[in-house]
Amino acid sequence: MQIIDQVCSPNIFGKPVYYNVLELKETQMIGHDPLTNTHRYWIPVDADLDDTSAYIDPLDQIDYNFEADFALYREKFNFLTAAEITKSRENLGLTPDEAALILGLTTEKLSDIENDGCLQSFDQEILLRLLTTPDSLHQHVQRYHALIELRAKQADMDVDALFAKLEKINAK
Amino acid sequence: MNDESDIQFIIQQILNDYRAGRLKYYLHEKSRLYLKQEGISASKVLKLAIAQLPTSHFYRGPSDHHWLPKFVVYEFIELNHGVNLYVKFDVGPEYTQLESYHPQEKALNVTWFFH
Repeated sequence: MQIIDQVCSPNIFGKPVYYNVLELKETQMIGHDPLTNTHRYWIPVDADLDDTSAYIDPLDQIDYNFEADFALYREKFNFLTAAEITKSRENLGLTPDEAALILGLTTEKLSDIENDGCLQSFDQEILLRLLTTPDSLHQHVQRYHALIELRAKQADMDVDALFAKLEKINAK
Repeated sequence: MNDESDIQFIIQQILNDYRAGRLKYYLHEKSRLYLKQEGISASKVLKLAIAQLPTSHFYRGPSDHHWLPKFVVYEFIELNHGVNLYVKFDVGPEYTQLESYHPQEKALNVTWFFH
């Protein structure tokens, strides 16, 4: 454990509250798998440094530790990064709605993954990989054509335009 | 508190604070570990807690906050993908903070009020 800084953040009454900023290496379950990473926490200066229940995520960057863990997890286990997923989808010319429908995800879940709100599960990673391999994506679409067509109609998508787009991807 | 209108009022206050950017994240270890295990970020949990609040079970409150004198605590049980989640909000005069979001640990020995 190492104290790296001290910061001040006002409480609701505008009164300054001082926190020690500390970093320590921890092993936690990330996406149901153990991962060791360095985490940063704030702890009030008058609190016991060994009292982990008093640790809070940095109030000025509440996603700091989450983003660090998700990034390390993706690197260690060869998962696509959020940016890679977005880029792959956009390279195929697919909207989030279209990509989510084809992969059997909800649009919200895909958006959360692309915006780093969520770490994709292993199952989702396998599906998302299809966006990086047009041949495999084409096979997937062929195999599940009927279901994708049905769901596209239910979602009021232009089915003909969607499949024309998918054929164009395959022809590239 | 067990009057439905009171519960609806406090839920509305929490929703209003969220919409106005006055819902803050203040989760401790137990909730953090659960979120990381599920691959959910801190930003996302605020949205999740709010999205499920209108259909949650009101569990307990108001009760005094142990270290914030002008805050009162309200506890809910939210169902997410078959898991009962214990969700605690600290409601204050200027903002609300989300203090707990993790699976319920034991059976509740109270009569639930489903609103």
